Amino acid sequence: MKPLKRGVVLPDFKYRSLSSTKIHSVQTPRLVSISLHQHVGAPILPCVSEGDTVLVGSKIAEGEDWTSVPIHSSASGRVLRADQNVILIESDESGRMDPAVQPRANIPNDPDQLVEIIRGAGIVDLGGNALPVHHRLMMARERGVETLVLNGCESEPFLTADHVLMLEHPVEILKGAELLRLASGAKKVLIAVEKNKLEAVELLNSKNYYLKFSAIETLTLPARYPQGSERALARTVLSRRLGSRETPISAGVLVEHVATAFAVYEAVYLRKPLYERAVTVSGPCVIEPKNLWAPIGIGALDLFRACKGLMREPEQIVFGGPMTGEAVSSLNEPVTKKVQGVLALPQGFAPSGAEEPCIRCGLCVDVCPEILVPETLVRAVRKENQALAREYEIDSCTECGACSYICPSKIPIVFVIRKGKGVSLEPSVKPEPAYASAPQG
Amino acid sequence: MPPLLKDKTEKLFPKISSPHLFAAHSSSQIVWGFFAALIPIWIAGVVAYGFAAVWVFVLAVGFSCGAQYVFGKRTWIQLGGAAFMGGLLTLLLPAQIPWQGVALGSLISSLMGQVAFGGLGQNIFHPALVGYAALFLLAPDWFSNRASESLGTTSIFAVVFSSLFLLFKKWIAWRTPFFYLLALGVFSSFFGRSFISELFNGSIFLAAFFFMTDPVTAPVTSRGRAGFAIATAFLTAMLRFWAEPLPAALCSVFFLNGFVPLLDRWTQPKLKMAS
Repeated sequence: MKPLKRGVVLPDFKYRSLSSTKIHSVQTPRLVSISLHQHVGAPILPCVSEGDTVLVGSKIAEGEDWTSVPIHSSASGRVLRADQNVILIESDESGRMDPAVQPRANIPNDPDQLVEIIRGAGIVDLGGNALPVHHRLMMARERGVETLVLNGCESEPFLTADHVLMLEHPVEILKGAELLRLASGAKKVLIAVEKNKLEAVELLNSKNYYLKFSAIETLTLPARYPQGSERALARTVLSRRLGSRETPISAGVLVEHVATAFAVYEAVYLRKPLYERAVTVSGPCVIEPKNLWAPIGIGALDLFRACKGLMREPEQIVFGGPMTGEAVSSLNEPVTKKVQGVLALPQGFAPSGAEEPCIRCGLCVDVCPEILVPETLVRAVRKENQALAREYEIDSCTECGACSYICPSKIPIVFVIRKGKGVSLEPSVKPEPAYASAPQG
Repeated sequence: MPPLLKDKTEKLFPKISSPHLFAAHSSSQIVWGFFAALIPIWIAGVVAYGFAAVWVFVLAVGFSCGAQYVFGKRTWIQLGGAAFMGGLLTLLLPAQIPWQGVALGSLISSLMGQVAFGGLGQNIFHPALVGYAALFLLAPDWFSNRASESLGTTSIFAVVFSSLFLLFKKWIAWRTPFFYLLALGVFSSFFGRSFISELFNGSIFLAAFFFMTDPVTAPVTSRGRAGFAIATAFLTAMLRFWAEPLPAALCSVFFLNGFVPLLDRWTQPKLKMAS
């Protein structure tokens, strides 16, 4: 075991959303808008049409390709619109469940059957990258992975959804972990948790004492960002660095999220598809930050309402954690399967004022978990020197944001590197370039 | 509905690239912090040489800021680079130097050392060393007099105190001075000199903690910094056969500054693993 040495220690801002260690339920809003782009893989199409009546948990979109992941309704009501991008459902607020959602009598332990159930329940990686879990499980089985790491690190500030999920549903997570282990063919499971969640570790250990899953162990790691990233965990478990073109799975480690294990438990034991997930609603603007069972497709505004609203004018709405999360342009933006948190950040979180010149302090080099030289990459991209950028392995950057965080000159390193990779942000809502639209002054 | 949520549904928020969280420090804070770290060393100089030392300091800082104000950008002065460089140059000059010397040194530091390269962060060679080297070549008489020691080297305790401050604030990497002093001790012993007298004087410590650790002109990788420190130590030990400690140390730093881009490239940390 080699815990992350590089990276940064972040202020964690977690205490406010932990004032209640419960995941609260939200009233389903009148309108849910469910995006059909919620997974990485082949596209899917709606299997309902306008005017159809759907129930909670009914399948509303699916694809023919095996890598695609179906989507289920999070509300009962009438379909208002169904096209290739989005399905709008008007809720009748009755919350009637699809009759297919009921406990399973015989729990299968055949890997192929489990993978098929996981795919049918629409489960993607709930840790933020939306990769289809069934596809990863198959890849892991083909590769013959040794270890399944269950990621409960949650090293991003503000987010506490996994923490609270582990406190509320330790047995379900352990059962889900065992199912994931069977489906992936791994020999052992390590539940990785950072040291700021020791009570969750204790709870998991004591529950496992009675469940007697001998393959499952917990692993406590120091709280350090980005310990909870897939590559950092794989490195920790393997005690060696991964090569640039090596993925954790090809190195023999499958990393899945604790929330994914919980979703797998629900899919297998309860036949419940993934139509809601635990989301942390937090940020300095929110009056009462807490964790909510957010139906997929609920707007950010409805989540803030469930937290008693906003007390300050937000300057930015972020889906995900503050380090890797995506800034969204509107309060009506619907939650998707990969959203772990919804944050309302006030003015002053983004750097105000102009970028200062690089003083080559080397902090970005010291913190980069992928041992890159961000300073040189920024120079290469800004001088449009592609050969230099490639020589310094610009594509190995995982965009964790540690360099941008630590940079004293407030150079938007991740933004520049992203531009250098050829992936630029969607056009900014303002006429200025995306970064220049940071609040000034 | 809470009042602030009203009318907000139409508001459009900027889609800024992640991350959305930033450390609280800034570059100007660090550079001005370096400037503040020089204070104990100046005080030691003033105690030793009196009012002349104050005059050198005022002139050096004034002329470097003035030169950058006129020929460069005003933001560079706000960042503190010009003031810090003037302050460092003061430490290298003897108290008895005529005011024309101070002015010339500061102007050369500012203009040739920084403005010509494109301002703070762009220069290859340490600007204060550029000014020092120029004065050393143009008017060696000012430095040859043993009685007129440089202001910064009067007290090793002041230098150590300032260095500890920088280390405590983590503004300088400990590796550079550590490897430099270690390697210098080893090389000096190897060349048959007492490493205690070689190491423990203000000149060597000044070079190790203030000139080698200048972020702009040192390598960014930790292995590069170690290599930079060891190479500088070797050169210093060699030059000590002919030169006083201060010129020997500064000349080696100046020389190795030129190799920094190369060192950075050689010590690129990413391992090239196939497959």
